Amino acid sequence: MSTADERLDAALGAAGGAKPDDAALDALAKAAREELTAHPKARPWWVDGLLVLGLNLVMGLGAAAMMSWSDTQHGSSTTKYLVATAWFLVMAAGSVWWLQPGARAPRWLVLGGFVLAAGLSVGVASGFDPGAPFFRGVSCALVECVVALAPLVLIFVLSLRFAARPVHLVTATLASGAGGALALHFHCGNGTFAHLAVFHVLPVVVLAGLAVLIRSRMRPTTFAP
Amino acid sequence: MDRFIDGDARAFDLLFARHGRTLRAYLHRLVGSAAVADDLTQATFISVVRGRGRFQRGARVKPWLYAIANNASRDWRRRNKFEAVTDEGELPETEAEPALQRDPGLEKAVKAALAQLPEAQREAIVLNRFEGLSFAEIALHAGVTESAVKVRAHRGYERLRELLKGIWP
Repeated sequence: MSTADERLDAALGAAGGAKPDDAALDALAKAAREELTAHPKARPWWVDGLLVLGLNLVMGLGAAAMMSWSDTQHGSSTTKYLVATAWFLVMAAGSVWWLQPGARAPRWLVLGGFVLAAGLSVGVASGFDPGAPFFRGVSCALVECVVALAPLVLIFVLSLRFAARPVHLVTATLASGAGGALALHFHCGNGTFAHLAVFHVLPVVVLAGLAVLIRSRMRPTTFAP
Repeated sequence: MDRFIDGDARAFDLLFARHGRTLRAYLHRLVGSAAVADDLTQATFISVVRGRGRFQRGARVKPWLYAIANNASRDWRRRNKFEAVTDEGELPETEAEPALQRDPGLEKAVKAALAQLPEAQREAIVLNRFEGLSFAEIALHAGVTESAVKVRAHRGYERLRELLKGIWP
Protein backbone atom coordinates (compact mmCIF):
# COMPACT_ATOMS: atom_id res chain seq x y z
CA MET A 1 0.00 0.00 0.00
CA SER A 2 1.63 3.26 -1.08
CA THR A 3 1.50 6.39 1.02
CA ALA A 4 -0.03 9.65 -0.22
CA ASP A 5 3.49 11.06 -0.59
CA GLU A 6 4.57 8.15 -2.77
CA ARG A 7 1.47 8.46 -4.93
CA LEU A 8 2.14 12.18 -5.34
CA ASP A 9 5.77 11.48 -6.27
CA ALA A 10 4.66 8.96 -8.87
CA ALA A 11 2.15 11.39 -10.32
CA LEU A 12 4.65 14.23 -10.47
CA GLY A 13 7.25 11.93 -11.98
CA ALA A 14 4.86 10.89 -14.73
CA ALA A 15 4.23 14.54 -15.55
CA GLY A 16 7.55 14.39 -17.43
CA GLY A 17 5.54 12.85 -20.27
CA ALA A 18 6.51 10.33 -22.91
CA LYS A 19 10.21 9.71 -23.31
CA PRO A 20 11.57 10.50 -26.78
CA ASP A 21 13.51 7.78 -28.58
CA ASP A 22 17.30 7.97 -28.62
CA ALA A 23 17.53 9.40 -32.15
CA ALA A 24 15.00 12.16 -31.43
CA LEU A 25 16.76 13.01 -28.20
CA ASP A 26 20.19 13.03 -29.83
CA ALA A 27 18.91 15.42 -32.51
CA LEU A 28 18.33 17.99 -29.75
CA ALA A 29 22.10 18.17 -29.22
CA LYS A 30 22.91 18.80 -32.90
CA ALA A 31 22.94 22.60 -32.69
CA ALA A 32 25.03 22.52 -29.52
CA ARG A 33 27.57 20.21 -31.19
CA GLU A 34 27.82 22.59 -34.14
CA GLU A 35 28.37 25.47 -31.74
CA LEU A 36 31.10 23.52 -29.96
CA THR A 37 32.83 22.73 -33.27
CA ALA A 38 32.66 26.40 -34.28
CA HIS A 39 33.97 27.63 -30.90
CA PRO A 40 36.10 24.92 -29.29
CA LYS A 41 37.78 27.31 -26.87
CA ALA A 42 35.73 28.60 -23.96
CA ARG A 43 36.16 32.23 -22.97
CA PRO A 44 36.59 32.55 -19.20
CA TRP A 45 34.27 35.13 -17.60
CA TRP A 46 37.16 37.13 -16.13
CA VAL A 47 38.53 37.95 -19.60
CA ASP A 48 35.39 39.98 -20.21
CA GLY A 49 35.77 41.49 -16.75
CA LEU A 50 39.28 42.65 -17.59
CA LEU A 51 37.95 44.20 -20.81
CA VAL A 52 35.43 46.26 -18.85
CA LEU A 53 38.09 47.17 -16.31
CA GLY A 54 40.44 48.32 -19.07
CA LEU A 55 37.78 50.49 -20.68
CA ASN A 56 36.70 51.96 -17.33
CA LEU A 57 40.33 52.77 -16.51
CA VAL A 58 40.85 54.45 -19.87
CA MET A 59 37.64 56.47 -19.58
CA GLY A 60 37.77 57.31 -15.86
CA LEU A 61 41.47 58.00 -15.46
CA GLY A 62 41.66 59.46 -18.98
CA ALA A 63 38.91 61.97 -18.21
CA ALA A 64 40.54 62.83 -14.86
CA ALA A 65 43.87 63.42 -16.59
CA MET A 66 42.41 65.46 -19.47
CA MET A 67 40.23 67.85 -17.44
CA SER A 68 41.52 70.65 -15.26
CA TRP A 69 41.88 69.94 -11.51
CA SER A 70 40.41 71.92 -8.67
CA ASP A 71 40.96 71.54 -4.92
CA THR A 72 38.12 73.69 -3.62
CA GLN A 73 35.73 70.68 -3.44
CA HIS A 74 37.90 68.86 -0.92
CA GLY A 75 37.89 69.22 2.83
CA SER A 76 41.58 68.34 3.06
CA SER A 77 44.30 66.58 1.10
CA THR A 78 43.68 63.40 3.09
CA THR A 79 39.95 63.32 2.35
CA LYS A 80 40.65 64.18 -1.29
CA TYR A 81 42.69 61.00 -1.76
CA LEU A 82 40.48 58.93 0.55
CA VAL A 83 37.42 59.65 -1.60
CA ALA A 84 39.41 59.16 -4.82
CA THR A 85 40.60 55.77 -3.56
CA ALA A 86 37.04 54.75 -2.67
CA TRP A 87 35.75 55.66 -6.16
CA PHE A 88 38.71 53.89 -7.77
CA LEU A 89 38.11 50.70 -5.79
CA VAL A 90 34.41 50.67 -6.67
CA MET A 91 35.32 51.14 -10.34
CA ALA A 92 38.02 48.45 -10.37
CA ALA A 93 36.23 45.81 -8.29
CA GLY A 94 32.83 46.36 -9.89
CA SER A 95 34.26 46.11 -13.42
CA VAL A 96 35.31 42.52 -12.80
CA TRP A 97 33.02 41.25 -10.04
CA TRP A 98 29.73 42.05 -11.78
CA LEU A 99 30.51 39.13 -14.10
CA GLN A 100 31.63 36.64 -11.49
CA PRO A 101 29.42 33.54 -11.57
CA GLY A 102 28.04 32.01 -8.38
CA ALA A 103 28.56 33.80 -5.09
CA ARG A 104 26.65 37.04 -4.60
CA ALA A 105 28.92 38.52 -1.94
CA PRO A 106 31.32 40.36 -4.32
CA ARG A 107 28.45 42.21 -6.00
CA TRP A 108 26.93 43.24 -2.69
CA LEU A 109 30.39 44.38 -1.61
CA VAL A 110 30.56 46.67 -4.66
CA LEU A 111 27.08 48.04 -3.92
CA GLY A 112 28.15 48.68 -0.31
CA GLY A 113 31.37 50.23 -1.57
CA PHE A 114 29.41 52.59 -3.80
CA VAL A 115 27.24 53.72 -0.89
CA LEU A 116 30.38 54.28 1.19
CA ALA A 117 32.18 56.18 -1.59
CA ALA A 118 29.10 58.32 -2.26
CA GLY A 119 28.65 58.97 1.47
CA LEU A 120 32.30 59.96 1.86
CA SER A 121 32.18 62.10 -1.27
CA VAL A 122 29.30 64.25 -0.02
CA GLY A 123 30.10 63.90 3.69
CA VAL A 124 33.72 65.07 3.81
CA ALA A 125 33.53 67.72 1.05
CA SER A 126 34.57 71.28 1.81
CA GLY A 127 31.12 72.82 1.42
CA PHE A 128 32.66 75.43 -0.86
CA ASP A 129 30.04 77.14 -3.04
CA PRO A 130 31.41 78.79 -6.21
CA GLY A 131 28.21 80.82 -6.47
CA ALA A 132 27.18 79.46 -9.86
CA PRO A 133 23.46 78.79 -10.49
CA PHE A 134 22.44 75.36 -9.14
CA PHE A 135 21.47 73.93 -12.53
CA ARG A 136 24.86 74.68 -14.04
CA GLY A 137 25.76 71.47 -12.24
CA VAL A 138 24.06 69.63 -15.11
CA SER A 139 27.40 69.76 -16.94
CA CYS A 140 28.89 67.56 -14.20
CA ALA A 141 26.12 65.00 -14.71
CA LEU A 142 26.74 65.11 -18.46
CA VAL A 143 30.47 64.52 -18.03
CA GLU A 144 29.70 61.53 -15.81
CA CYS A 145 27.31 60.05 -18.40
CA VAL A 146 29.77 60.59 -21.26
CA VAL A 147 32.59 58.90 -19.31
CA ALA A 148 30.30 55.94 -18.52
CA LEU A 149 28.82 55.62 -22.03
CA ALA A 150 31.41 53.44 -23.83
CA PRO A 151 31.81 51.02 -20.88
CA LEU A 152 28.01 50.79 -20.65
CA VAL A 153 27.72 49.75 -24.29
CA LEU A 154 30.30 47.02 -23.65
CA ILE A 155 28.43 45.98 -20.49
CA PHE A 156 25.18 45.58 -22.45
CA VAL A 157 26.90 43.43 -25.07
CA LEU A 158 28.54 41.23 -22.43
CA SER A 159 25.38 40.99 -20.34
CA LEU A 160 23.60 39.32 -23.27
CA ARG A 161 26.05 36.42 -23.04
CA PHE A 162 24.58 35.15 -19.78
CA ALA A 163 21.38 35.32 -17.77
CA ALA A 164 22.21 38.65 -16.15
CA ARG A 165 20.03 39.70 -13.23
CA PRO A 166 19.39 43.31 -12.17
CA VAL A 167 22.12 43.13 -9.53
CA HIS A 168 24.69 42.32 -12.25
CA LEU A 169 23.66 45.37 -14.28
CA VAL A 170 23.52 47.66 -11.26
CA THR A 171 27.00 46.58 -10.12
CA ALA A 172 28.48 47.08 -13.59
CA THR A 173 26.84 50.47 -14.07
CA LEU A 174 27.93 51.71 -10.65
CA ALA A 175 31.49 50.71 -11.54
CA SER A 176 31.38 52.70 -14.79
CA GLY A 177 29.69 55.60 -13.02
CA ALA A 178 32.40 55.50 -10.35
CA GLY A 179 34.91 56.19 -13.16
CA GLY A 180 33.00 59.37 -14.03
CA ALA A 181 32.66 60.30 -10.36
CA LEU A 182 36.43 59.87 -9.94
CA ALA A 183 37.12 62.24 -12.84
CA LEU A 184 34.67 64.81 -11.43
CA HIS A 185 36.17 64.43 -7.99
CA PHE A 186 39.40 65.96 -9.25
CA HIS A 187 37.82 68.37 -11.76
CA CYS A 188 34.79 69.92 -10.06
CA GLY A 189 35.35 72.79 -7.63
CA ASN A 190 31.86 72.73 -6.07
CA GLY A 191 31.94 71.23 -2.57
CA THR A 192 28.30 71.70 -1.56
CA PHE A 193 26.27 68.74 -0.39
CA ALA A 194 23.38 69.45 -2.80
CA HIS A 195 25.62 69.73 -5.87
CA LEU A 196 27.57 66.56 -5.10
CA ALA A 197 24.45 64.54 -4.23
CA VAL A 198 22.37 65.70 -7.21
CA PHE A 199 24.99 66.00 -9.97
CA HIS A 200 27.72 63.54 -8.95
CA VAL A 201 25.93 60.67 -7.17
CA LEU A 202 22.35 60.73 -8.45
CA PRO A 203 23.21 60.43 -12.18
CA VAL A 204 25.05 57.17 -11.49
CA VAL A 205 22.05 55.78 -9.64
CA VAL A 206 19.72 56.87 -12.47
CA LEU A 207 22.05 55.28 -15.04
CA ALA A 208 21.96 52.01 -13.07
CA GLY A 209 18.16 52.04 -13.04
CA LEU A 210 18.04 52.77 -16.77
CA ALA A 211 20.53 49.99 -17.48
CA VAL A 212 18.33 47.47 -15.66
CA LEU A 213 15.25 48.70 -17.53
CA ILE A 214 16.90 48.55 -20.95
CA ARG A 215 18.51 45.14 -20.34
CA SER A 216 15.16 43.68 -19.21
CA ARG A 217 13.87 44.40 -22.71
CA MET A 218 16.76 42.62 -24.42
CA ARG A 219 16.94 38.88 -25.03
CA PRO A 220 20.11 37.07 -23.98
CA THR A 221 21.95 34.81 -26.41
CA THR A 222 22.61 32.24 -23.70
CA PHE A 223 20.88 31.31 -20.47
CA ALA A 224 23.98 30.36 -18.45
CA PRO A 225 23.86 31.83 -14.92
CA MET B 1 33.32 18.88 -17.46
CA ASP B 2 36.87 20.24 -17.60
CA ARG B 3 37.52 18.41 -20.88
CA PHE B 4 34.26 19.75 -22.28
CA ILE B 5 35.20 23.31 -21.29
CA ASP B 6 38.43 22.81 -23.19
CA GLY B 7 36.45 21.89 -26.32
CA ASP B 8 36.39 18.06 -26.19
CA ALA B 9 33.34 16.99 -28.24
CA ARG B 10 33.29 13.49 -26.72
CA ALA B 11 33.04 15.01 -23.25
CA PHE B 12 30.01 16.97 -24.46
CA ASP B 13 28.43 13.77 -25.81
CA LEU B 14 28.94 12.15 -22.43
CA LEU B 15 27.38 15.13 -20.69
CA PHE B 16 24.38 15.02 -23.00
CA ALA B 17 24.01 11.26 -22.63
CA ARG B 18 24.04 11.62 -18.85
CA HIS B 19 21.70 14.59 -18.49
CA GLY B 20 19.82 15.13 -21.78
CA ARG B 21 16.89 12.83 -21.11
CA THR B 22 16.29 13.84 -17.49
CA LEU B 23 16.64 17.51 -18.35
CA ARG B 24 14.06 17.19 -21.10
CA ALA B 25 11.66 15.40 -18.72
CA TYR B 26 12.20 18.17 -16.18
CA LEU B 27 11.45 20.84 -18.78
CA HIS B 28 8.35 18.90 -19.83
CA ARG B 29 7.16 19.01 -16.22
CA LEU B 30 7.79 22.74 -16.11
CA VAL B 31 6.15 23.77 -19.39
CA GLY B 32 3.65 20.94 -19.98
CA SER B 33 4.40 20.53 -23.68
CA ALA B 34 6.73 18.02 -25.35
CA ALA B 35 7.41 20.27 -28.35
CA VAL B 36 8.35 23.23 -26.15
CA ALA B 37 10.41 20.95 -23.90
CA ASP B 38 12.36 19.85 -27.01
CA ASP B 39 13.01 23.46 -28.02
CA LEU B 40 14.08 24.40 -24.51
CA THR B 41 16.34 21.34 -24.20
CA GLN B 42 18.02 22.43 -27.41
CA ALA B 43 18.36 26.01 -26.15
CA THR B 44 19.68 24.75 -22.82
CA PHE B 45 22.50 22.74 -24.39
CA ILE B 46 23.42 25.56 -26.78
CA SER B 47 23.69 27.78 -23.68
CA VAL B 48 25.76 25.11 -21.97
CA VAL B 49 28.25 25.29 -24.86
CA ARG B 50 28.24 29.07 -25.20
CA GLY B 51 28.30 29.74 -21.48
CA ARG B 52 30.75 27.05 -20.38
CA GLY B 53 33.35 29.74 -19.66
CA ARG B 54 31.12 30.74 -16.73
CA PHE B 55 31.10 27.28 -15.19
CA GLN B 56 33.16 27.14 -12.02
CA ARG B 57 35.57 24.25 -12.37
CA GLY B 58 35.10 21.73 -9.60
CA ALA B 59 31.45 22.64 -9.00
CA ARG B 60 28.61 20.13 -9.54
CA VAL B 61 27.35 20.11 -13.12
CA LYS B 62 23.75 19.17 -12.46
CA PRO B 63 22.65 22.30 -10.56
CA TRP B 64 24.28 24.45 -13.25
CA LEU B 65 22.45 22.62 -16.03
CA TYR B 66 19.12 22.96 -14.26
CA ALA B 67 19.74 26.65 -13.62
CA ILE B 68 20.21 27.12 -17.37
CA ALA B 69 17.06 25.09 -18.08
CA ASN B 70 15.13 27.26 -15.60
CA ASN B 71 16.37 30.45 -17.22
CA ALA B 72 15.41 29.13 -20.66
CA SER B 73 11.92 28.18 -19.49
CA ARG B 74 11.46 31.56 -17.78
CA ASP B 75 12.44 33.32 -20.98
CA TRP B 76 9.96 31.17 -22.91
CA ARG B 77 7.19 32.00 -20.42
CA ARG B 78 7.95 35.70 -20.63
CA ARG B 79 7.70 35.62 -24.42
CA ASN B 80 4.53 33.53 -24.37
CA LYS B 81 2.84 34.84 -21.27
CA PHE B 82 -0.38 35.73 -23.02
CA GLU B 83 -0.70 32.37 -24.74
CA ALA B 84 0.83 30.00 -22.25
CA VAL B 85 -1.85 30.07 -19.59
CA THR B 86 -5.51 29.29 -20.04
CA ASP B 87 -8.34 31.20 -18.36
CA GLU B 88 -8.23 28.67 -15.56
CA GLY B 89 -4.55 29.39 -15.00
CA GLU B 90 -3.43 26.05 -16.40
CA LEU B 91 -0.83 25.27 -19.00
CA PRO B 92 -2.40 24.28 -22.32
CA GLU B 93 -2.00 20.79 -23.71
CA THR B 94 -0.30 21.30 -27.06
CA GLU B 95 -0.26 17.67 -28.06
CA ALA B 96 -2.05 14.50 -27.16
CA GLU B 97 -0.53 13.20 -23.94
CA PRO B 98 0.43 9.54 -23.85
CA ALA B 99 -1.62 7.13 -21.78
CA LEU B 100 -0.52 7.74 -18.22
CA GLN B 101 0.55 4.87 -16.07
CA ARG B 102 -0.42 4.07 -12.52
CA ASP B 103 -3.15 6.55 -11.58
CA PRO B 104 -4.15 8.74 -14.54
CA GLY B 105 -6.73 10.71 -12.58
CA LEU B 106 -4.27 11.63 -9.88
CA GLU B 107 -1.53 12.43 -12.37
CA LYS B 108 -3.80 14.74 -14.30
CA ALA B 109 -4.87 16.47 -11.12
CA VAL B 110 -1.27 16.83 -9.93
CA LYS B 111 -0.14 18.17 -13.28
CA ALA B 112 -2.92 20.74 -13.30
CA ALA B 113 -2.10 21.70 -9.71
CA LEU B 114 1.60 22.06 -10.53
CA ALA B 115 0.76 24.31 -13.46
CA GLN B 116 -1.12 26.61 -11.12
CA LEU B 117 1.85 27.17 -8.83
CA PRO B 118 3.95 30.29 -9.29
CA GLU B 119 7.04 29.49 -11.34
CA ALA B 120 9.53 29.90 -8.50
CA GLN B 121 7.56 27.54 -6.23
CA ARG B 122 7.19 24.93 -8.97
CA GLU B 123 10.93 25.03 -9.70
CA ALA B 124 11.84 24.68 -6.02
CA ILE B 125 9.59 21.63 -5.59
CA VAL B 126 10.50 19.82 -8.79
CA LEU B 127 14.23 20.47 -8.53
CA ASN B 128 14.40 19.41 -4.90
CA ARG B 129 11.99 16.51 -4.91
CA PHE B 130 12.64 14.98 -8.32
CA GLU B 131 15.99 16.12 -9.54
CA GLY B 132 17.68 15.64 -6.18
CA LEU B 133 19.18 19.12 -5.90
CA SER B 134 19.70 20.51 -2.42
CA PHE B 135 18.09 23.81 -1.45
CA ALA B 136 21.58 25.32 -1.25
CA GLU B 137 22.35 24.28 -4.84
CA ILE B 138 19.06 25.66 -6.13
CA ALA B 139 19.68 28.90 -4.24
CA LEU B 140 23.21 29.34 -5.54
CA HIS B 141 22.17 29.35 -9.17
CA ALA B 142 18.85 31.12 -8.69
CA GLY B 143 20.70 34.01 -7.05
CA VAL B 144 18.63 33.90 -3.88
CA THR B 145 19.24 32.70 -0.33
CA GLU B 146 18.75 29.09 0.73
CA SER B 147 15.99 30.11 3.13
CA ALA B 148 14.17 31.87 0.28
CA VAL B 149 14.16 28.60 -1.70
CA LYS B 150 12.92 26.71 1.37
CA VAL B 151 10.12 29.22 1.83
CA ARG B 152 9.17 28.88 -1.86
CA ALA B 153 9.08 25.09 -1.60
CA HIS B 154 7.11 25.23 1.65
CA ARG B 155 4.54 27.62 0.16
CA GLY B 156 4.40 25.50 -2.98
CA TYR B 157 3.62 22.36 -0.96
CA GLU B 158 0.98 24.22 1.02
CA ARG B 159 -0.66 25.37 -2.20
CA LEU B 160 -0.39 21.87 -3.70
CA ARG B 161 -2.07 20.40 -0.64
CA GLU B 162 -4.82 22.99 -0.97
CA LEU B 163 -5.29 22.23 -4.67
CA LEU B 164 -5.17 18.47 -4.10
CA LYS B 165 -7.46 18.46 -1.07
CA GLY B 166 -8.87 15.00 -0.60
CA ILE B 167 -6.12 13.42 -2.70
CA TRP B 168 -3.03 14.40 -0.77
CA PRO B 169 -3.22 14.99 2.99
